[in-house]
Amino acid sequence: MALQRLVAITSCPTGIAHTYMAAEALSKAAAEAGISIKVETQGSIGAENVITAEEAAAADAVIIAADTNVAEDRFVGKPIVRASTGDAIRNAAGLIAQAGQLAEAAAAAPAAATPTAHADYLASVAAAKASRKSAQAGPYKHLMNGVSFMIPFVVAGGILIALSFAFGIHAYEKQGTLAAALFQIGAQNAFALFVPILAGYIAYSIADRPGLAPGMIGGLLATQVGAGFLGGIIAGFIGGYLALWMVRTIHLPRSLQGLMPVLIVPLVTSLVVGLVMIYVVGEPVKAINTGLTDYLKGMSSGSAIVLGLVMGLMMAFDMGGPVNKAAYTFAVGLLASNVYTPMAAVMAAGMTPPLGLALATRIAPRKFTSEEKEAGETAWVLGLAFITEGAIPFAAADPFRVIPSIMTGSAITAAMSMAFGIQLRAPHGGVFVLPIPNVITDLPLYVLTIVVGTVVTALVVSLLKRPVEETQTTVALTEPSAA
Amino acid sequence: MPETAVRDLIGPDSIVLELGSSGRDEAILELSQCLQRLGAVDDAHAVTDAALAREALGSTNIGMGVAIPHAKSDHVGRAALAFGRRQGGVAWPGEAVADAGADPDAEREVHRVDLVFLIASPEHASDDHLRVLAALARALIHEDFRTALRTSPTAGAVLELLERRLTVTA
Repeated sequence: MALQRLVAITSCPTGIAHTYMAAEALSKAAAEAGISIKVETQGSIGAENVITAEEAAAADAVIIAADTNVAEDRFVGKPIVRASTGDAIRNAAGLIAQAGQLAEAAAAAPAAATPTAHADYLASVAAAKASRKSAQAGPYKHLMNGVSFMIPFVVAGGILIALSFAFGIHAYEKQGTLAAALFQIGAQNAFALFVPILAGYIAYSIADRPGLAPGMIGGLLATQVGAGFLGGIIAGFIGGYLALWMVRTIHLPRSLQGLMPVLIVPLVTSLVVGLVMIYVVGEPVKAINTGLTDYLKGMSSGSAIVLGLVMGLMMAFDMGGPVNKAAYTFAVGLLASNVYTPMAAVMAAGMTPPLGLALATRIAPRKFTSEEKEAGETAWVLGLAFITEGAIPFAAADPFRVIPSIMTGSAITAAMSMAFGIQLRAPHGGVFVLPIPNVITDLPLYVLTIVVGTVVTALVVSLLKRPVEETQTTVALTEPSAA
Repeated sequence: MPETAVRDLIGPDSIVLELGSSGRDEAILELSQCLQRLGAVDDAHAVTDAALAREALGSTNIGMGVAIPHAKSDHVGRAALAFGRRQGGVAWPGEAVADAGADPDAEREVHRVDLVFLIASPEHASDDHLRVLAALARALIHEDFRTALRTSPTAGAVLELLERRLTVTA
């Protein structure tokens, strides 16, 4: 197979010149060789001409001409030529020839070059994640950026608090003990930072560096006025868009331009966001936050089950997509208000889709292709690690039977978890955090809810799915990787 | 307005048709001083130091007789570009090239440039300016552009060429 489609990334430390020269040299050499190429430039203007997951999948080979670290996870399983920008500028044709040789070798020796079904399945999970990330836009993307920066604080804080309780639930009240120290690290510091970090990195995602100060300050104010994570989200968006607006619209004389980033933007944005949080947003959002918290804490078991059903359906509906993340963010945010039951429900419901599908490949092997059966082995691990995306390759192959099945299992799991009132203090980690004392309030019951959801998922999917005609489906599954 | 962005960066007074310096460091200083006279930078020596620090990380001699030293510094008041030519060439250490080693003439050519673009940028440059510089970097890859730079008779002609080729449409 001759080389037809190339993708490339160029990047240099200052991002002013070499990135673009390398890109141009590659484009020119490819045009001369009659090869289609798309070159993503990662320069100081930011990434431009970004390669989508589809384009990455369709490429015969990848050239990375960079003097910086470039993430390669989009290109799992592709032949990659790595070079410096200087190599690309001086000898672009040579790099393209090299890429051609690699692509031909890959095509000629499919057994060696084609990833195994196992790697293929992980790659398709990664590709699904990447394409979702690149498709994220606007406010949702900003919110998710904030959430991803916030999670480590919640994980560290939640687990440290739980560890302090391992010494007894009131042990931390005694000054000078290790329990008090753990509680101080977790509750008074890690947890105190997480809403400011959420707000700060929402604003950072919107406005880049100028957004960080107003976002974080607004986020801290949100916690102090009692507006919780909802207030933090609002502070992040106000701070970010305000900073972005200022940077874009205010043009000072050149002599004063240097003052913009160090004085004017941070002062004005922080002042405005701060005043808005204290005088405008604070009270109503505090009311909403307290109302929500009180409601969730005093919920009847009937309402708890309904909430669990809804969250479970959401977690499985798009397996890591926006609906799933909405339920997840809701549960994580509530940790700031000491509400821990939705977190337990959401994590369990996010684990059962891959687990249930993995079980289904065992109990109804005739209904899955051999690739899916092998993928099932890895799905166990992804499920146990609370990576809901592990269900995507199964769902993509047969959405109308798989998605309702996993939604059923997840809804039952989440409803059970809520009905039992199980509390979880860590926002991620799957089974791997459960052995830590006091992270989960009732481990045996929690394991039971996950097992029930897994079994239900597996049974429903086994009932709904049709037996596969092995040959036909195999062709359909392997086609993309051979293209 | 992209046209203005090119004129923002470079003018007839920052184009030197025949550089006086035959060495890299002196050539950078010569171009920095042009920019200081125009008020774009406040200390030509500091800007030269910044550009040399960048050279130390990796030569900006990109081959093809072109070097694009760049300085990012607090001593740069506004992003600016200076261009210098020298018929006899400026000695400019380049990266070793595998296939040049056998031929001493080729090896010498690798370490000489006759077109120099000095890019001075403040710590925070605007995207407009960065786009023009990116367009310059892209244009330099094309031989017809380099030839036109070498043969333009006047600074005005160089400026027109730059405006024509660096207009950013995106």
